[in-house]
Amino acid sequence: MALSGMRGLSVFISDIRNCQNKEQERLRVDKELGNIRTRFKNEKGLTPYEKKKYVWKMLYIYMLGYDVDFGHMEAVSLISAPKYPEKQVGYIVTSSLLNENHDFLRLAINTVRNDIVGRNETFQCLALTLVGNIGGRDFAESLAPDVQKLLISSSCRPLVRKKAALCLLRLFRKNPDVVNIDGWSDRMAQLLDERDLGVLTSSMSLFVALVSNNHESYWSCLPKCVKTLERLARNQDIPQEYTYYGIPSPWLQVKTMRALQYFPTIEDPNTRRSLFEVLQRVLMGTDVVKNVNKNNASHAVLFEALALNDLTTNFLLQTLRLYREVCSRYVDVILQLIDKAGDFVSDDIWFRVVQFVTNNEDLQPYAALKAREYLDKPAIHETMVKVSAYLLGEYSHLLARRPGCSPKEIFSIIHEKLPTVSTSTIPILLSTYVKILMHSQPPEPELQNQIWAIFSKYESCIDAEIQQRAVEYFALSRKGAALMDILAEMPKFPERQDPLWKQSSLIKKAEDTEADTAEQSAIKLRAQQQSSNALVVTDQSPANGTPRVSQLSLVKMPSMSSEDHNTAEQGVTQANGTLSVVDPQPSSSSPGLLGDLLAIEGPPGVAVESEHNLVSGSEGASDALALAPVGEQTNTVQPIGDIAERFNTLCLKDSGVLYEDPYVQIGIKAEWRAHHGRLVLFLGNKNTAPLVSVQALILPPTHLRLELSLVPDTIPPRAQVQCPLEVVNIRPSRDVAVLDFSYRFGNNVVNVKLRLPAVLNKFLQPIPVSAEEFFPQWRSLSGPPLKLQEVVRGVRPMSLMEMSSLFNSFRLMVCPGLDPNANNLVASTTFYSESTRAMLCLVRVETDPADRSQLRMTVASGDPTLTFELKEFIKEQLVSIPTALRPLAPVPTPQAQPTTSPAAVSSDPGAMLAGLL
Amino acid sequence: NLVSTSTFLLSCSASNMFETTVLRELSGLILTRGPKLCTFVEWRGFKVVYKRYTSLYFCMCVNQDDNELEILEVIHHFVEILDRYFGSVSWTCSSIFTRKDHHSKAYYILDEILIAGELQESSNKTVARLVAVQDSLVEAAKEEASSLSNIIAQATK
Repeated sequence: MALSGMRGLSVFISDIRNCQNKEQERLRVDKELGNIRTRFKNEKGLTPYEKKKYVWKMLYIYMLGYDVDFGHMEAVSLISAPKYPEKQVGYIVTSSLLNENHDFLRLAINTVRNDIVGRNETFQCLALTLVGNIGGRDFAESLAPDVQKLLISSSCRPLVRKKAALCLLRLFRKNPDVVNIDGWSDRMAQLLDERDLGVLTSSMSLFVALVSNNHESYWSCLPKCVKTLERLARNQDIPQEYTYYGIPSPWLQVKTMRALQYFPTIEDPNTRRSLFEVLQRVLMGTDVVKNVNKNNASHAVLFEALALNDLTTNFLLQTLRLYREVCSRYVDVILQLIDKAGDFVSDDIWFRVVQFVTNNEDLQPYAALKAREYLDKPAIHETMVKVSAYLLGEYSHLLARRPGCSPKEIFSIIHEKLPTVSTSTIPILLSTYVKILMHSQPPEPELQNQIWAIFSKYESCIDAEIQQRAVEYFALSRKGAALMDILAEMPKFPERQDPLWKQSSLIKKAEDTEADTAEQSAIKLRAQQQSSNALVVTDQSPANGTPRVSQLSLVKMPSMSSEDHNTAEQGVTQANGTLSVVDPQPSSSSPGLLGDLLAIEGPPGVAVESEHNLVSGSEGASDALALAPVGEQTNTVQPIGDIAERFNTLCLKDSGVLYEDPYVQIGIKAEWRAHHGRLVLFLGNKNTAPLVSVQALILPPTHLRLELSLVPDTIPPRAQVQCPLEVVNIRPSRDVAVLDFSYRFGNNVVNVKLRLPAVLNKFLQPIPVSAEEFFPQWRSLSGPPLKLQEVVRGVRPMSLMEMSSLFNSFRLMVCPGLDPNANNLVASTTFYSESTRAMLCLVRVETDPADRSQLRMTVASGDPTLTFELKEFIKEQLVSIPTALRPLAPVPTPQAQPTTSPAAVSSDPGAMLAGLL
Repeated sequence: NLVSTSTFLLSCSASNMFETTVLRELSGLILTRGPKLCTFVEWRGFKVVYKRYTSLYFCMCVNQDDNELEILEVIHHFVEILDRYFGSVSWTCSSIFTRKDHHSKAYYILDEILIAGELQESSNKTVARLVAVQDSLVEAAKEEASSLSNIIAQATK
């Protein structure tokens, strides 16, 4: 009897298998469904066993792809059968045929609950599986607490608890409002200590859902996740059955990394280091292997690890290093290939090497060195001559200090090969020669003559390409400075051709981060060196002894010490070869200046006699030391244009000239994103002789983190050097960073201190706000210190329109229509710094149409320092300082040309005001 | 809701199409794809990850941001366990569709591996052990039933 029903199923299945076509199959299925339907209808007293066999058939039919829209009731009723086989079928068929929207499911809630809270763990498992697969709102409401209890119960076995974890996950995903997870952070942390990897895997899935909803509550779980990853990565205490193709549970690794991605940072350095080690292991340990499953699993982990890059910048750096390593390996391998089997290396392969090296600055010295090494070999392949000559022409100057790498030596070792090569290689060698010539500064006459002789020789060459190059290079190399521009290094190739790594954005990010992290100690050091914070700048005394003017400018230095020193200023002028020092302190002329202003002497060594210049310069410095802590001021060069005006322009613009004199031009280009800035300084040598002893130091204010890339000691004639400068804004402040720039041209030592336009408004991002956003915010910031109000007098006369455009120019967005009074102006912006993050700032200006010289300003933000600094900043922009303060400027001697000196002072209102405050 | 459950579809040999809309659509999508094409397909804002084993296709529908390689190996993990349980020959010949208790066993096994669309157990030994326990429970019940009917038969002779 027991067998007959199941035999029915066997017969049915074999009937289906014997069907010749789809139509026959459908007929057979319809017949069977009709049969089952009749049974369910007519025979009220079906035993659980009988129900079971029909329900199985229904499931089978369903699996074949037919709709089964009856018999749900019977399936559900089997759940309450007392015996395991029937109950099991009831649960499985119910969860297959029904979904959470079926009303019949409600009938089962009580039975399911009884099974969950009951003592029979096999029943618990069945019930949890059903709820975990199709449980809806009703289940969440009545069962969630019971499921939670099972999950954390110490008396439950892993097989129940892992199901409880996923069951809870389902209920939480479906109805986050119903499942109460208050206080679950502790329980979760406990669960993540679980040793059973099945329970841990399920709990991790639950954890991912919880942190994706709100990571804030689960900080305490973060170290546990890292520990889990460590355990897996090191394969510590992982049972063999939990390794998948040799990889310790890739799924658990992926889930854990996924969970970590929801945390914005890792504060604890130890945890961060551990995670870094894990990621490093993943990165280094992932190879492409033959087994596809192992490959998939390890790459699943790798990709998840890569998504984690924000958490550990070091990881990125590691990636970058690896990338560089791969690059140099690539160059190595190709060069070896050319060396060993040059005949089989086509041109495009060595082109690729060139392209590669050109695009990777780090690789250039290395590649040049390798090329140089190959040239030492007695017999090398012609392709090797080509690639070596090209690389050395471009980059041998990077090796200049190494033995055997002087321009002369490089030239002669390459030239040795010339007799052995074919006509196709000679043009490359000619290019190399002219590049070597360009890089040998100062020019070596002997080398020059040698190379010129070669060019002359080939001027009459029968090969047109060689002839043309020889003629052109010969002419060019006699042009002197123009040579530099024409023969400058080849630009980078477009990124898309980068054969190894197309995701250049990742690399760029890594490079940015590297620049970001490397600097701290250097800056600290500099800050210490600059503990005396006075500073000043003068430039004067042209070397030719013509009448000179004093150039004055002011810099407000950030305070390095706790005392707030004031701006120093000084006027120095020089007339008719005599030096006069103007002390800015006399009370009659500058009553407003505080006593600790410092005057600095200009250079005494203006004498044209060059050999004495340096000596006298240092004498002057020792004189000056008594007065000024800044040290020697030996400038003898006059700037072109107004430094302060240039600075002010750059405060509102992102590119332009920061400084210029007859020898050098410093251009600047900036990009700002949130609290990060990237400035590029363009140091251009305008002359035909090199600028030497070039130094650029950044004197950083305490609120900025600045990292200037290496500035070369020498700028070749007519060349421009780009020096990226990374800026990170730590907190709101109006202090200004200063670039201390010096160089020597001939016998002139020039030193200028230039304010850098990394000013407060660069970290603003205009943001429009609506009335609905503005007013609640405005009201919630109720008063000092978050909201400050001040009546500002002495406002520059300007119309409301002009004021609006002024505000917009420094990135405060004027929101028209918010203030009903047409004489008022409301503006909003977001300020970015590390300490404040993105912070909304609101500004309101009330003007008096009858008296435009005063207004009332209210500034509000969530940070007291920011509110204050922003208020002061706006005030500086509004108040008309220049004319008012002009008389305060130290008066130069009458002989001075009036155009430069007063202008320089007066157009620097910000610093002047800052000095006065 | 497909999103949150990452519905697992135990799909079908080519002649036996499921009739529900979702499955019909997915079958049309997957069965027409050549063997060299990618086994991840975008579908209605989700990703479908599938893998073919002889005439059987296994597919999982997951969220866009899920790790598809991980999912692919979940499928393989399931298949390995089926393989071990049924023996490699019998199930790959679509025996899931031809032997009376195979299809139900496939469901039990699946329930031990996935719940709520998430991996529950990655140890194939543990899964095998739990399935064996269930089998023995069913067997025990069967024996009990037959011995009972024997007793009744004896008694009523």
